Amino acid sequence: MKPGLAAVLALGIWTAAAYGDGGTMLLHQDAGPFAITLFAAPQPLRVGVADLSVMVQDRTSEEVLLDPAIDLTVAEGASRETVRLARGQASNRLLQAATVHFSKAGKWRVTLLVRRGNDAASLSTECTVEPDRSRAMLVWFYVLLPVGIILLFVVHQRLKRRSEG
Amino acid sequence: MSDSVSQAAWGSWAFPFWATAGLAATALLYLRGWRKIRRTRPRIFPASRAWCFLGGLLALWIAIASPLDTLDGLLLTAHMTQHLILMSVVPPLLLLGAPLVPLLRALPRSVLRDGLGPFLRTPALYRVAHVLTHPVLAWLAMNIAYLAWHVPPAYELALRSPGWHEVEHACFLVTSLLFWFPVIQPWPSVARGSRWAMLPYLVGADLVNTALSAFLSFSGKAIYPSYANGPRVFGISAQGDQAAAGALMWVIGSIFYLVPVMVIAIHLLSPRSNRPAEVSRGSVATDHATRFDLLRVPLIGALLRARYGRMALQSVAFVIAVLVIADGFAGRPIGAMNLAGVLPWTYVRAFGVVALLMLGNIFCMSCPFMLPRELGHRLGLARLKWPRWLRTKWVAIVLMILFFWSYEAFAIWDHPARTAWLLVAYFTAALVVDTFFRGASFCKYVCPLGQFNFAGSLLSPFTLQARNQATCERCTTHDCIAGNPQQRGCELQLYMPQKAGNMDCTLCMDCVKACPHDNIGLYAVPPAPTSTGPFSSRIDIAVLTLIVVLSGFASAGSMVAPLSDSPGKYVILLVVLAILLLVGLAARGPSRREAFCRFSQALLPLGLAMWAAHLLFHLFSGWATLAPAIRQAGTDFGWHLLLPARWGMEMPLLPANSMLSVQLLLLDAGLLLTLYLGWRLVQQWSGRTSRAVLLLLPWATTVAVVYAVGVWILLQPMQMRGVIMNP
Repeated sequence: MKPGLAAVLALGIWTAAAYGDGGTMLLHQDAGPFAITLFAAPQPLRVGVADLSVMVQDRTSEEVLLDPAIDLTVAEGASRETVRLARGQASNRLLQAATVHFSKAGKWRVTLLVRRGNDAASLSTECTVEPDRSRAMLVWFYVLLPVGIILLFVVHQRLKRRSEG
Repeated sequence: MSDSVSQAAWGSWAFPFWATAGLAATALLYLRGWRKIRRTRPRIFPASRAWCFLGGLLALWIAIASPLDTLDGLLLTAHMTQHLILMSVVPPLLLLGAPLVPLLRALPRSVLRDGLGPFLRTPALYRVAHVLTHPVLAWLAMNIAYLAWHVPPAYELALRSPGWHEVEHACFLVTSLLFWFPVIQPWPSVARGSRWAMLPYLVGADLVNTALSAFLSFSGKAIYPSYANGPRVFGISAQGDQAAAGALMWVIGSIFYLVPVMVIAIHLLSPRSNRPAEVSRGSVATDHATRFDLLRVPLIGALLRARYGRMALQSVAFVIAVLVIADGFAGRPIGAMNLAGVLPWTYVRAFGVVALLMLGNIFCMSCPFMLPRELGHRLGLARLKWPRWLRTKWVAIVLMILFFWSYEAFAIWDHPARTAWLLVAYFTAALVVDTFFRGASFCKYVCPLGQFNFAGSLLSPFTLQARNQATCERCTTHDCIAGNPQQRGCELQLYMPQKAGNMDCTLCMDCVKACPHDNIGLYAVPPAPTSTGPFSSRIDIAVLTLIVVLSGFASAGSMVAPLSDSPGKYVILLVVLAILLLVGLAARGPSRREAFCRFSQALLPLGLAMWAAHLLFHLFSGWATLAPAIRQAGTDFGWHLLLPARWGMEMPLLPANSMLSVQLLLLDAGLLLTLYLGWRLVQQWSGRTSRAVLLLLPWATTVAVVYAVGVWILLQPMQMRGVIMNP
């Protein structure tokens, strides 16, 4: 096995992208007849697109409610976006999700309005949106990638020469 | 729990694209290698090995894509089941597949020998692997990772952060592969120490598992705050969930450790005669190297060789070109709303460059300008030979520079009528040249588009080559170039045994159809534009490739604000050209002429990468304009069968960061291939490494500067040509 251990170990890398369950819990709170949990991904939230997911449960029985209508509003100063959440947007089908766009860094207020039959409840929370570093990181990654490969090639050539010599 | 909630939970599958693609690719790679090695070692590689490995991959996919993954933030039981699969199901199954040799044998021999070979032969790698797979270290690694990640702060970190969650899973999988390695002893590894040692090894791991499971089951409180404070689903309390998770780990986890204990014990206690025969560890038999021939592929091969296959492609392209000209003259005079603005500049250019990099010179194969050429030939007036002093690329180079300049100066992309005039001029030139001159004079010496494709096709992964050189040597008729009564030979005078690379090849397949010995294949080859035989010291070809390379940067630079109206881009090009000339002149070893020519050709990967990055941006941002442009053309022509065009601002095909990733990845690949080709050149010219490095350094620095300019251009906001911004 020895030299090809790396090939097998590389399988470990493929456990990446295993996170598809709605993200990190931002809020879990009772409101009216509901228990509402808000998840967000990515964490921490950054300027750009984010997935917000909501689980609504019956407050007393803790039964997950699949059919409430959920409107989510994110607001910061004059910036405001309201979206209707949908179950098809979430890989975890117990949740309803939507994609929202945070246009700038700062404290954003997230407000949820949940309606089911004659019942309705609303709650809100504040979350911090950090500046977007993804583009800078992406550029650095792709600029440094060739450097890494060139170094690997240098090692390769040295080893080759040594084995031939 | 209601049925609908239960259904929703079971339907919570995620489909991680890259992970799924990676696992599928690994499965295919393994099967390819397994089939090869099974021919020589059927006893070591029965079907059960393949089933085990595939089962391991499937289990891994289930762990990361099933509801176990999507529910792991809500239910500790689901999370622990996922960990159990990653640690106790996936690793033994993968190792039972003895994956090392099949995965290596699946790779092309040259990659294995020259690419991985030096690494695989490194003693240091053996030493590291020897240490990592030592039973004591493997046991400690797995159990420490197992315990450490279950400490509440670490566990909470993984639940909060997707990145750490992935690290946690990777830790479990990797350390478990190490742990199970001495237990399974996948072929061709050799047992280290007595097999009896595996009994305390496994029992010890089971004791650790039992201790943690018991702690979770009997702790009396929920120890992980995320579950304690989060929503409870399925009517299970956080503490109940934790107890159930502990019980699951205890019972099922113990089974995974104790069953192998029994199997090993029975094996060791059974008489020696009953044990399976030791497998031989001799050298692996070699496969006959076979080259991939696209013409041997069913359907594709038949299509490429079909007598009228190329004509069918050309006819379709001709009809499209006529429509483009008609719409250019009679349709809306806005580039992004007209076929003449959308098809050639947004679609054909991008697909053409991608086809060059993925397949070959597909544009010339289906060139619409061939049909008037054929018509000109059939008039019987083609008696003149192309003048000897013009049998170079200089005419085409001048035309190409003229085209690139006029494209920007007259904004041809935004004026459909000008595009239509350009196409008419092209048809006329092809008709006139080939009406009076023999052979494919237009293609070979005049057509700037063809020269761009010829230069680009030096990088293409397929090339026409003789299947058997000895057959060519015995051949007396040379139909591939001379033709025969049924089929003409190569009009561009490329004699198959001497053909080097794809320069001047239009992929017309005339040689393939003419060869009476069926001795020509379309083979997959490594991209190597520096080994182009007679072309490697021709100044005109070198300048042609330089124009192709540098125009890629100039063209993209024209789309970004800091350079679009500035002569700076031309200054940059001149500086690069001057540096290249100086490097060529300074080079010792080969002749200066050859050094300049071959260094110039080695820049092609970087240049084509820039072209691809630039043109794919326009394709992905303007991909949705074709359908409305066709409808608009239909309306303009009075064809009311088509629905009226609906113009609107469409979202790009890829988000901005994904597009940038694709572009930078292309540029990275171009840079690396360019540097590699340069390195190969200086190695040929200089025996000593230090001298080769000195020879390469100034050129490589120039390449790095050009790459940096490319990255800078890609980071600037680029004009959204071919897109309707304000309908």
